[in-house]
Amino acid sequence: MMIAVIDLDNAYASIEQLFDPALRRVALCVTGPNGGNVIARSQRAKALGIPMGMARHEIQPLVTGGQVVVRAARFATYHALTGRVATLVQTFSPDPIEIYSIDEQFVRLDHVPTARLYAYGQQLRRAILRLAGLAVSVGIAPTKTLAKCALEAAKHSTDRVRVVTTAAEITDLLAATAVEDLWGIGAQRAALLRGAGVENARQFRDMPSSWVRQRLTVSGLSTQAELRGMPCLPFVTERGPRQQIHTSRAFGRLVTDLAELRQAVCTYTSRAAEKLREQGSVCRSVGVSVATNPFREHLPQYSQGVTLRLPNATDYTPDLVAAALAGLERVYRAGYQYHRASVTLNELGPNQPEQGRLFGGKSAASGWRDPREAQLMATVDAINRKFGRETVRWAGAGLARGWGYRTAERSPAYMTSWREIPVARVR
Amino acid sequence: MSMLPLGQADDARADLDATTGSGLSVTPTGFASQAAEHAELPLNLNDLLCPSPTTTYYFRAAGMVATDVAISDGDILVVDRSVRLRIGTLVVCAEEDGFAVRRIGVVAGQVALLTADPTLPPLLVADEMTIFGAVTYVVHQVPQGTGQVLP
Repeated sequence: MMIAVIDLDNAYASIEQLFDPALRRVALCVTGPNGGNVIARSQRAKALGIPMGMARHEIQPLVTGGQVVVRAARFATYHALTGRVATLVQTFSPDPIEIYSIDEQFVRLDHVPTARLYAYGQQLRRAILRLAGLAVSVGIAPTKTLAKCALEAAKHSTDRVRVVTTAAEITDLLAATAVEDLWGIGAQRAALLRGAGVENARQFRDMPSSWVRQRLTVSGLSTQAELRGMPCLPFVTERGPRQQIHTSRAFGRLVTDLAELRQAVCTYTSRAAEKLREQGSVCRSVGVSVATNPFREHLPQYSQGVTLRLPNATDYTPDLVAAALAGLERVYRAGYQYHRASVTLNELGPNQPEQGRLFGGKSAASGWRDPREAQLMATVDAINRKFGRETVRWAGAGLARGWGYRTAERSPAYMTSWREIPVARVR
Repeated sequence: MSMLPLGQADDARADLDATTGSGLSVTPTGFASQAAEHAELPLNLNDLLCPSPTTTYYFRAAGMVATDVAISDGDILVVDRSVRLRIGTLVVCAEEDGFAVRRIGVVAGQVALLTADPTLPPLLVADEMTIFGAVTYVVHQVPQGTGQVLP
């Protein structure tokens, strides 16, 4: 069996460059939607030595000096475009592909003869470049973990496709892979391995299995088996509904006022509730947390979270907002400058409205729901789907939003708003 | 597909539901509508303008100069990356400072991107990122007039 892993090069930065030719020749950094930290870099920005996670304010001198251009992320665009790439990749395989992350897919290559694997990789790469305008790297090997090693090697090569099939090729590849770069080995485990004198993936592969099992548990053992060419990790072609829905943003500026935090928490909760209804789930508890900016070391630091259990599992926005705001009251401390708030919907389960009525008295505690609540939510969701997100929103989310976007740097909604599609000059 | 309104269907079922001597349950389904076999999906503009959704993008045209195709300021351009490019294809391409509409042509034996304005220099195709895609449709809103409303 052979497996390919396909990964978009500098995904978010490349997408911004696709839609704005002026960004193609500059060092581009993409930050979170509200500024915050760097989450993607173009090749030139990498060459300048800007690390991932660098705070927006730390690159300001480079922006002022004209060396770096910043865009604040527009996830709707990335989502739309990476979905197209996954659809294109699927056309290259008769078997369902695994969408591993927003910019990465696994493809089973049982149908491709070994001698044709490299040509297959190049063909895939050319097709995605032509049809989606984005460059990908491809790693091909007998297991997922080996394919990820081959992918790392491909990213550092000029032809961007690396096929590793024979025992000798695999051994060479692993000898050149540091344990830190191994898929499934976190920083902690890598440090443990280094401590035991294991520096590269080849040495790790050749350690006794009993030793690995003892130190790194069963998951370390399956990583090792995969390096030995035995596929252990399942091929996940369909994912169940999410078990947790998380909305978290860094604010455009530091926020001290409880009223402003309430607006932000209300907005995040409304959005999370929308996602909850989209997947047909209800939730049983709501988590809220707030934090100051850890990069502003001279300011007093604080971060706190709390989870509240709801009397009934629900998808009704007003109930969820009420719980989230009650949580906010508990974690909020005056005198700090807040940088981030997050809302998490936990203990998700399927929405089965009849069940409540079967056992039903007409009280909230027994789970009876007014059918008009569901109708109201369906109407709000339908309007927002049709006319754009937040056309109808909860008054608590506020109208003036000081905590919101640094609009000047926000990437336009190239693929999701008719008002913001790219412009082409005619003359 | 044609169906009886729900209430009527239930009434019909009450009258006709029967268990035959053989123990088989018989459920009336009504006489099949003649129209049903001719049912087809109604026309949908997406099928016409966007036959390849994964490779289609939309651009807003800007500029007032008349070209050999009727594109007006503010029109929406449908651009499909999957269309095979030929000499003569109208494309959206990337210039130094943004996108522009040009036509693929030949200058001195070399493929080049041309504009309707002969004073503008042709653009050479530098790499696969130069041409974004072929313009396949122009969506133009017709002005509705400003005169008196008819009775």
